[in-house]
Amino acid sequence: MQLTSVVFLIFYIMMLALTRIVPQRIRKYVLLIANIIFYLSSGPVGGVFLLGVAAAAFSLGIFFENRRPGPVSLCLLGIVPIVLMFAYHMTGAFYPLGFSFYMLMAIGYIADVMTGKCKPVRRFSDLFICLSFFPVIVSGPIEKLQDISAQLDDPRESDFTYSFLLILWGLLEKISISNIAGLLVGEVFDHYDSHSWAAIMAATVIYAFQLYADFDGYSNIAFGCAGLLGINIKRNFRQPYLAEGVRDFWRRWHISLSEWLRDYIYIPLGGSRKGNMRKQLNVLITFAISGLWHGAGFNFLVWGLLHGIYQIIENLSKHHIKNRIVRIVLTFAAVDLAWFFFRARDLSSAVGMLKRFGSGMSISPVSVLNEFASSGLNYIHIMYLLAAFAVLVITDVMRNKGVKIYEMYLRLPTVIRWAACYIVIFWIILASLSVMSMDISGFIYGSF
Amino acid sequence: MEASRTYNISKKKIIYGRIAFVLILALLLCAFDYASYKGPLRSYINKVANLNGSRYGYEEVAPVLSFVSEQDATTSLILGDSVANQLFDGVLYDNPDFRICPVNRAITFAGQYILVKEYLKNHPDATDVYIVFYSGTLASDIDPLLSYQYIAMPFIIHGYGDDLDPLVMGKLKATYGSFFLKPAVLDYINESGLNRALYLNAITKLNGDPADKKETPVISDVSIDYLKQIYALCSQNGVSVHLVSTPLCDIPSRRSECDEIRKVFAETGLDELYPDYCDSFVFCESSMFMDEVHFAPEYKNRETLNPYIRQMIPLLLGSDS
Repeated sequence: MQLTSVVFLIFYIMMLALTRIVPQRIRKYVLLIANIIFYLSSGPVGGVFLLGVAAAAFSLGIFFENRRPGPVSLCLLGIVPIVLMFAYHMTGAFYPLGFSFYMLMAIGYIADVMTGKCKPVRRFSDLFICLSFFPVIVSGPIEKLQDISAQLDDPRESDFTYSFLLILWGLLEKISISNIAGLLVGEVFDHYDSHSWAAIMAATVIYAFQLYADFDGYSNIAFGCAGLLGINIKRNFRQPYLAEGVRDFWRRWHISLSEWLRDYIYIPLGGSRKGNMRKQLNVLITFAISGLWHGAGFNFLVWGLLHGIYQIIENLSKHHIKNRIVRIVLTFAAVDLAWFFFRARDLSSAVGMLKRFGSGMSISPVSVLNEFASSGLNYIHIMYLLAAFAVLVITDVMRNKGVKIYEMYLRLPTVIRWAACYIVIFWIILASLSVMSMDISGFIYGSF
Repeated sequence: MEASRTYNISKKKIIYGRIAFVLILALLLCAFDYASYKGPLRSYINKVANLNGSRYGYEEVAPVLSFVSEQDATTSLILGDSVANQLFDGVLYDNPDFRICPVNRAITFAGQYILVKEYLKNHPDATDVYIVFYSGTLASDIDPLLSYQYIAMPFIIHGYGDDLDPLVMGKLKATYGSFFLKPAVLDYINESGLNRALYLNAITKLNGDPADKKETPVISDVSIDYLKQIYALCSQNGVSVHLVSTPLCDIPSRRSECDEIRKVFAETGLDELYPDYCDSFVFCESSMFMDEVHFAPEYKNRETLNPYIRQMIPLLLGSDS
C-alpha cells in the first residue's frame, strides 16, 4: 500500500475517523490494527520479520535494563546488524518492507536502554505499535521508539491545517517532481549505452532533485499523517541543497539517519574524543556503514565512502571558501557526484557510465533534449515538473532565510487559502494522470 | 462558562469550515469529471492531463458495426482479425459482391457473431460469410485488458448487449462489475478521457501483470460457443459460413497449435460444422512475419498476398487480379 495511492487514502481516512470516535484509551489499539493492516498489505512474510525484530527488541530491552555494557558492545550493536543486513540483502533473498528502518529503530532503542537514556517499554503491544508505526515504517524518519511510545497514551493536539498542507505538499513533490523526473533519469541510467556523457551528467543532476523530492515528499506525508494522529515525528530535511559544506549537508539531509549514525556508530567508536586521526577514521567507518545500510550493492559503499572522504577533506582543510554561492554550488557538485554511484544499477554500470565521459559524443543541449525524448516525456510533463520544481526552490530559499511560510499562509484570506489548496489538489490529480501510463511506483527509499 | 461557550462556538466554526471545504472540493471534482465527459472543456482537460483522448478499441469496432449494417448489394461478408485486416488491406472495394470488414481478435467470436447477425439482418440476399483469422484467434476469451474497450463499449453502447450470451456476460460482469457494464456508464467512460484512463488503469492494476497469466486453451469456451451460434444463425438464414485460416508462420509452436485445434474441433463437433477449416492451414516461412503472427512490412503487398487470397476465397479476386 503506497502512501500516494487511492487505497491508502481510503484506509487512512477510515482509520483517522475511527481514532476520533473511539475513547482515548482504545485509540492506540486502533493504531495497532491499522499498522498491521498496512504492513500485511505488502504480504504476510514480512510480518514474521517485523514480529521477530519486535520480540528481540522487547526482550533485549528488559534484559539490558540495569546492565551497562561497554562501548565495544555498543559499537558492535550498531555495526554488526547493518553488516549482516547488507550481506543478507546481497543474497537476493526476500527483503521485508521497511526492514532497514525498523531495524535501526530497534537497535537505537536497545542502545538507549543499555546506556540508561531510556527505560525499557513494559508492554509488548506498545513497542510493537511504535516499531510498526505505518507513517514511518517504509521510509522513516528513524524515530526513537521511546519518543513515539511516550505519545501513544497522551497524543498531542494536532495542527490539522499544517498536517494537511504538509501531506498535500508531499504528494506534489512525489508526483509532480519525483515521478516525472524519474522517467528521465530511468531512461538514461537504465540504458546508458545509448546515451552521451552529457545526458548522463544532466540525468545525475536531475536525479539529485528526484531523490530529494521523493524522500522529502514521503517524509512530509508521513509527518502530516502522524500529526493528524497526534504523534509528533521528526522533520527529516532542511533545505539540503543549500548546504555550505558536506558536514552541513548531513545536518540537513535525512537528519534522522545522520543523528542515528552519530549516536549509535560514530560516538561509540570514539567520535572525536580519541585524537584527530581516529576521528577521521571514525567518520570514514560511519559513512561506510551508512553506504552498506542503503542498499545491496558496492556502489552504495562507494557512495558512503565518498561522503566520508568529503568530510575528512573538510575536517582537515585549512582553507575556506569565502563566497557563499560557490560553497553551495561546490557542495551540490560533490554530493551529486556521490549520487551518481547511488543511482547506478551497480558498480559495473557506474564504471561503464564513467567510461562514456569524454567519449566525444555530441554535447549540444538540443541533442541532450533529444536523448531525453526517448523517456516518453512531453511538454505537459515538463510543465508540471518545472512548476513544482520552481515552488520547491522558492520555498526552500525562503525557509533557509527563516521565512515562516505557514504563518504567511495563515494570514491570507480564507478564500485565497482554500483556492490555493484546490489548485494544489487539482495539480496533483492532473500530474498523476499525466504519468499514469508510466510505470513509476513506490518510494525510492522504500527499497532500503 | 463564557470561555467554554466561546471555545465550543469556535470549535463548531472550525468543523463547519472543514465540512464546507470538503463539500466544495467534492463539487469541484464532480464538475471537473463531468466537464471531461461533455462540454467545451473536454479537449482542454485531455490536454492538461496528458490524455490523448483516443477511444481505442471502440473506435476500431464501432465503424465496422456501422459498415456491416449499411444496406447495399453485397451478398458476401468477410470478417476476421488483425491478420485478416493486413491480408485484405487494399482489397476493400475490388469486388462489389463482398463486404470486407475484419477487425481484431479482441472482439472474440462473440463480437464476430454480432457482426454476422447485423449483416444478415440488413442483407436478406446474403449467400456467404467468411471468417478469416490466424489460429491463435480461436483462443480469444474475455481479456480484462481488452474486452472492455473491444466488446463492452462498442457492442453494449450500441444496443447489442442481448446478443452477448450468459457465458460472455457472466465473464464480463465478473471482470468489470455489473455497474460498469450499464450502457450509460459505458458511454460516460468511453467519452471521458479522464474516466477512461482512471478505470482502465484500475482494471490493469487489479488484474496484475499479463505475463503472469495462466496458459489458455487453444480454443476458448467463448469461441466454441459462438462458432456454434454463428453456424446456427447462418443456417437459419440459408447462408454458408466458412472459417478460413490466414497464412501461418511455419514454426513448431504454430504447427503443434494447429494439431491441437484439429483435436479440439473433433472433440467438440466443430469439424462437422466447419469441415474445411483444418484443411485451410497454410504454413509460410517465418521471414514473412514480423512477430510470428503478422506479416512483415516487406510482404504486406498485393503481389505477395493475392495468391493466398485466391486460394482462400477464389471468388473475391477472380483469376486476373
